Amino acid sequence: MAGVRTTTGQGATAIDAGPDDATLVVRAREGDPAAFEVLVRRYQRRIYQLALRMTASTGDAEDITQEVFLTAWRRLPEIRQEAAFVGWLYRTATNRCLNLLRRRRPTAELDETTTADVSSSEDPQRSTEATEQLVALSAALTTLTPQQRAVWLLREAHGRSYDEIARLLDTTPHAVRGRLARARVHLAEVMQSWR
Amino acid sequence: MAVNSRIDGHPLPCGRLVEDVFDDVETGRTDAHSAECEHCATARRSLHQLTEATRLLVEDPAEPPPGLLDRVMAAVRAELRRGAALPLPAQLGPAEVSEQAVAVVLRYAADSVAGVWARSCRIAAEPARPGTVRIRMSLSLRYGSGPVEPLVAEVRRRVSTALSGQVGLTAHTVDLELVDIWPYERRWSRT
Amino acid sequence: MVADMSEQDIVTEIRVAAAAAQAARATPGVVRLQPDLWGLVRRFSQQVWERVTGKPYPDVAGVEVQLDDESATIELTLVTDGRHPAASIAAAAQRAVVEAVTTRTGLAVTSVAVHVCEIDITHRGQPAPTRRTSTRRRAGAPTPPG
Repeated sequence: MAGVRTTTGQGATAIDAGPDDATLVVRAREGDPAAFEVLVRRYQRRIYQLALRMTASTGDAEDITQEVFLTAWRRLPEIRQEAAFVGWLYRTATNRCLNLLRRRRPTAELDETTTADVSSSEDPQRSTEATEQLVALSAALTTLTPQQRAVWLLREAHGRSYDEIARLLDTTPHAVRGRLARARVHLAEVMQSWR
Repeated sequence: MAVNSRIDGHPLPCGRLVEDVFDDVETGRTDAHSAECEHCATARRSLHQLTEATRLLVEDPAEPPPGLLDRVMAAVRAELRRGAALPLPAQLGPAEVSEQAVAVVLRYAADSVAGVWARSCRIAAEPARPGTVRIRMSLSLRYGSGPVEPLVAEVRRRVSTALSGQVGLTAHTVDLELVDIWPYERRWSRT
Repeated sequence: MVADMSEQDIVTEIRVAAAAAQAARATPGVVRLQPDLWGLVRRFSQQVWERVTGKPYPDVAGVEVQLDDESATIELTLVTDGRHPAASIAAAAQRAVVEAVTTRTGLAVTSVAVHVCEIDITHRGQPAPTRRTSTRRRAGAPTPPG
C-alpha cells in the first residue's frame, strides 16, 4: 500500500524536538526522570494506539500502555542498544496484547460499546464517512487472529520493518509477509461486505 | 499476472488469486485480463478501500487518556532512589547536593551549545581538594555543526561555568567523550 | 522513637522543625523544601501537637529534627534556584535556620545538615527575584509556632 508506510501519522509536534532516543535513554538510566518523561510523551500515543487496535478496549489499552512504560523504566539498565528503545516498546506492547487476547474469552472479543467508544473521534473536522471507515476497519481487525492483527498493525499502521516484526513474533520475515498478505485479503473482504 | 502464483491464495471467480491482484496493484503490473476482468476490478476496489481506511488508521485520532502520563511519571518518581551525593562547602553542618541534580544542570549547559546533546554525566568528588569535582560526560554531536575541537571547548567552558555558577563547585577535570555523531536529518522521528 | 518521647518533647521538636522550615523557605534561592519519599505526616505527633497546643499542625515536610538535651540537630532537604550557586543557598539556609531556631525556641543548634535534591533550572534566563515563594506550600500552612 504505497504512501501508507512512509508516514507514522505522528505529525510534527513539540515532542519532535529534543535529544534523540539514545541520549534520553542514557539520561533516564542515570536517574533523570525528566528524560524518561520526554520518551513517554514521544511514544505513549503510538503504543496506546497499537494496544487499542489490538485489544479493541480503551481500558485494556490504557493498562497495557502504563505497564509497558513502567516496565521500560525498570528495565532501562538492561536495554543495551539505547537507540532501539522504540523497538523494545513495540515488542513489549505486542507481547502483552497477545497474552491478554490469549486469556480473554472469545465472547468478549468484540465489545460493541468499546468499539463504538474507540472510534468516536472527538474531532468535529473529521467527516462522518471517515469515522465510519475507521469504525469498520477497527471492527474488521477484531475478526483477524491476534497474530495476524499484530502483523498487520505493526506493518501497515506503524511502519515497522518485516525483520523487526519477525524478531518480535519469533518467526521469519517470510512468514510475516505471508501473514500480512492473508490479513490484507481478509480485511479487504470484510471491509467490502461492510460497504 | 504475477509470476509467483500461490497455491494457498483466495481464488476469484475468474481464476486469479486475490493475493496476486493485490501484488499487481502494488507493483504497478497490468495485463490484458486484469484490464478487462470485472472480478479483478472489484478486488482492486476493495484494496483501495482498505488502503483508504488504513490511511485513517495511520493518523489514528485515538488519544491516550490525559491522566496516563501523570500516572506513569508518579510511579517512576516513587521508584527513584536517592543516589550518590557530592559534598558542598559549608560551615554550620554537612551540606551535599545529589549527583543527579548536578548532572541535570551540567547536561543542560552542554545542550545549550548548538549541535550538542549531553548523554552520560558522572561527577565524582576530588577527596584531596574540597569543593572540587571530576566530571565525565559523553556527547552526541550533530554532523555538520562545525569543527569538533571548538565545539568541545565551548562545552567544557559552559559546563565549568554552570558548575561554579549554579552548583558552587569547581571542576578539577572535565573529561568529554564523543560517543555519537548524528546527521542533520536523522532525528528520532521519521519525518 | 516518637512513642518514647514525652509530649513536651514532641511539641518542642515540632516547634523547632516549624521554625527551621519557615526560615529555610524564606531563604533567597530556596525554591521549596522536599519531603522524603517516606516523609508521611507522623499522625501520632500531629495528634499530640494539636491536643497540646490547640493549633493546626505546621508544614514541616522536608525537615527532620533530633533533640538532644538542650540542643537540636536539624536536616533539610531542599530544591534550589539554579540562578544562584546551590552551595551559597545551602549555607544561607543553614545560617537562617540556626538564627530562627535559637531565637524562637531558645535551643542551641548542633548542626544543620542540608541535602540539595534538585536544582531548578526552569527559570534560567529570567532575572532572579530577591525571594521566591514556595509554590507547593499547602493552604493554611505554615502556621508560625507560638
